[in-house]
Amino acid sequence: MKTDRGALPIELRHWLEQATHGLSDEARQRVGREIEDHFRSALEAASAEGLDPSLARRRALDALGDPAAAARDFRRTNLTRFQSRLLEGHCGRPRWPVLALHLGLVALGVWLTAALSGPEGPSLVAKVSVVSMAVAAAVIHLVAPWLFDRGRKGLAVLSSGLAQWLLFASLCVGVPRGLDVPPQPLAAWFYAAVLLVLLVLYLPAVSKARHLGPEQAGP
Amino acid sequence: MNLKGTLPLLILKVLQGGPLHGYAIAQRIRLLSDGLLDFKEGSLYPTLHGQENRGLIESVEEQERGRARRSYRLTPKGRKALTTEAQQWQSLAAAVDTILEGGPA
Repeated sequence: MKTDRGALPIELRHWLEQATHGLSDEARQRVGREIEDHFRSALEAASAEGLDPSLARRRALDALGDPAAAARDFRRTNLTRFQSRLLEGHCGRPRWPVLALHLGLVALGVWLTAALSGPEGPSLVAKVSVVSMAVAAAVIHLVAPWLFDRGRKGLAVLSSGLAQWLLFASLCVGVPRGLDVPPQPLAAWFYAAVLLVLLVLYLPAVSKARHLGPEQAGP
Repeated sequence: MNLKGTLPLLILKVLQGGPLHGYAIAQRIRLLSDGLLDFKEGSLYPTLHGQENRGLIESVEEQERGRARRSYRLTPKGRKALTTEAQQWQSLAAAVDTILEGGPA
C-alpha cells in the first residue's frame, strides 16, 4: 500500500518531506498515507463548499501547520531510522557473525575459568559470569527472535538489550577475575553507564514498537 | 483557542462514539466545540500515534474509494483513561472556576 506521491500536489510533498524527515521508511509511508488521506478529505470538503481548487489546497495545507513542529512530534511517537535499524537487529534472521562472536566469548570464558583458576577452583564470580554469558547469548539468539516472531516486539528488543548488557558486564567481570586481576573501583560505574546508554537507546524504540504489526517492524 | 495539552483527552472523547479516521476526528472536535477549539491538524497524527503507543487506541488501515484510510478506535484501556482524565479535567476546571468567580481576595 504505497502512496502514489506522483499524484500529490508539490506543496504537500514538500510538507511531507519536512514532516517525516528522519523517520524510518515504514513510518514515513504510514504518515504519508494518513496525511494524504487527510489532505484529500479537506480538499473534498472545500470543493463541496464551492471553494476555488487552488484556494482549497492553500487552506488544506495551512491547516496542517508548521512541518518542522510536526516533524518533532512525529519523531517522538514514530520509529526513527536509527531505531528501526535497532529493531531490525531483532527480527529473527540468523546473524551468524554475531552468534559466532558470542559463542566464542562463552568458550573463552569457560576456558579462562577452567584453565586459569587456582587450586581451590574457579571463583564464584567467574562461574556466575560464564553462566550469565551463556544465558545472555541464548536470550539474544533464541528467546528474543522467538518473542519477535510472535509479535512481542517490544519485549524482544528489551530482553535482547538487557542480555547484551549482561553479556558485556559478565565479560568485563569474568575475564579479569579469571585472570586474577583485582577489581577496579570504577568498574561498577562503567557498567552502570553502559546499562544507562542501552536503556536510553532501547526504551524509546521498545515503546514505539509495541503496537507495530509484522509489516511495519521487519525489514 | 489553543488546545494546550487537552488534545489527547478530546481525541479519546470523540472516539467514544465509535471508530473515526483522522480528518473526521479533527472535524468532530471543531464541530463539538462550535469551532472554538482550534489546532494545527499536523499535530493530530503524532498525538494519535502516541496514544496508540500507550495502548489507549488502536487503528486499522483499509482501502476506501481507492485510497488508504486508517481509522482509530478506543481500547478498553483507553475507555478507563477517558473516565479518569475527564474527572481530573472537570476537577481542575471546577477549581479554576471557583477562583475566577470568587475574584481577587
